[in-house]
Amino acid sequence: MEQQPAPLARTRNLVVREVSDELLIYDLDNDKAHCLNKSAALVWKNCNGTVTIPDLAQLLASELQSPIDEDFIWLALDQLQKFHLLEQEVARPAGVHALSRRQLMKGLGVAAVVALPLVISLVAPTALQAQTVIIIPPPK
Amino acid sequence: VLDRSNASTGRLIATVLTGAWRSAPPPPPLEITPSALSLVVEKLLISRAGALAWWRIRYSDLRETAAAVELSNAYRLFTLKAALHERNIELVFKHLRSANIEPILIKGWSIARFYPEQGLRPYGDIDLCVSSDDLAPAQAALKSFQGSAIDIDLIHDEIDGMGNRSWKEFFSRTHLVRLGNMDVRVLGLEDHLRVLCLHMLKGPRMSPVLLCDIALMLEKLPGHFDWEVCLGDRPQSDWIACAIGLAHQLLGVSVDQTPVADRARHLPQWLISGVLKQWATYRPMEYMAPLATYLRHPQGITTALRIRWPSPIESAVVFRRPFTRTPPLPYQLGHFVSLRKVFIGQLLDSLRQRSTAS
Repeated sequence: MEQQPAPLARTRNLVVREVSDELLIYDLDNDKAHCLNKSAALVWKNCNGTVTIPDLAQLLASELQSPIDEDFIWLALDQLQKFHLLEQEVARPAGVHALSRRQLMKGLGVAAVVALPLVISLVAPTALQAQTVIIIPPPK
Repeated sequence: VLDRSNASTGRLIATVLTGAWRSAPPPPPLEITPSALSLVVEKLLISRAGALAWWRIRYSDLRETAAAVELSNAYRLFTLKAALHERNIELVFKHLRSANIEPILIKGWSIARFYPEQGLRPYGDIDLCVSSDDLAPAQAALKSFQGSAIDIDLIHDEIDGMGNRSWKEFFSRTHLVRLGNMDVRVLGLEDHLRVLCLHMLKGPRMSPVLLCDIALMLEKLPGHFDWEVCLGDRPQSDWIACAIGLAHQLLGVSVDQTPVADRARHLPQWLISGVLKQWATYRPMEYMAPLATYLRHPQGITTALRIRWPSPIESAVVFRRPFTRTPPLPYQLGHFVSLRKVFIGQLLDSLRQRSTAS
């Protein structure tokens, strides 16, 4: 039987802050900021290198009081990997295919949409970026 | 001189930020429309008051607007930056203490710690002050931070202008507060409020966050607060009273329990207008072509001069004048001349050469 992967969250060089239902992460390696919603944050926090995907699904189901399957966990892991928030890439076991958010939403129904894991990259609002020095060209 | 649009933009900013620093008691109900919020959202973000504005609107219907998304992102970013800033302060304190220097942390985190969340207020440099004897050793010790992302500022006019107080007296009012894994030294509340007021008035770019800092501090003052120490002598005492008056008149803070209530209720109109104008026209830091370049290419000189024209508030402070009823126009002119004397010399030379040539 194929061994179940047990993902490990990256914690090195990260600054983490919890704000209401979200987890904010600043990556010191690349100076990027990310925002994890509640379910993505729960997956990340429980990735300790020993908990397998089915166990993660069970853990989240109990935390979120909602049925959670492994596809849900994979959706979170895919995003965490994309933003370098896992120590190593987690290989999908044979026969497990990536599902899109849309496919998952269809499978879970509208009521479950709010709990779908989501990791977004935080970009300074345009006006905030203007805090850096701007250069007014000299007259010609 | 304040046109209607600057006044209303400034007033809108004040409305959004009224009580934004509070967790309790709740701020007054926010009565502005989504379109009014969208008018000032950019100014709020540029002046780094976005997180505070988000805090203010987060339970209102405005939270669903597009403007709110921008403000909430500012709040998230500031929250992370606060965490980074705290980490950096610890590093710097550790470093200076290893060189037997005990710095005092001013502004920044030392006021942010009073807010309901540290990420509500923006952070820039780490502002520290040390005794004059320690200044050179501190500068030498901090050389290792040069080129890193940590900016440290050791020179502060607000501290130099502490009146006749000795460093020993000033230091004796400081105290230690917990930050992460260490204690950091911060100003006594009297000196802190004084520094916040002077810092706001003397700056060429006045963010509304600075007035929120003062408002917050006024609501946190303990019963044993020593106003005499805070206010000091004139003209600083008048400036401080007026800064408190601005927090009262623009952000609705009560001044009933302060000895400056009367002055706070009777501010010169130009002072209020000056602040509203600065908020409404707040611009990011700019690198501008030297004025001398306009001698050869005079196009755009009017705008260049207008941008460089000092605020009446800053000019009065530079010339150490109390805030009287009359706008300090002569001091603005004097301030402008003192800042631009090289350019004025070049301008006179150029005019002289032209008249000789013709």
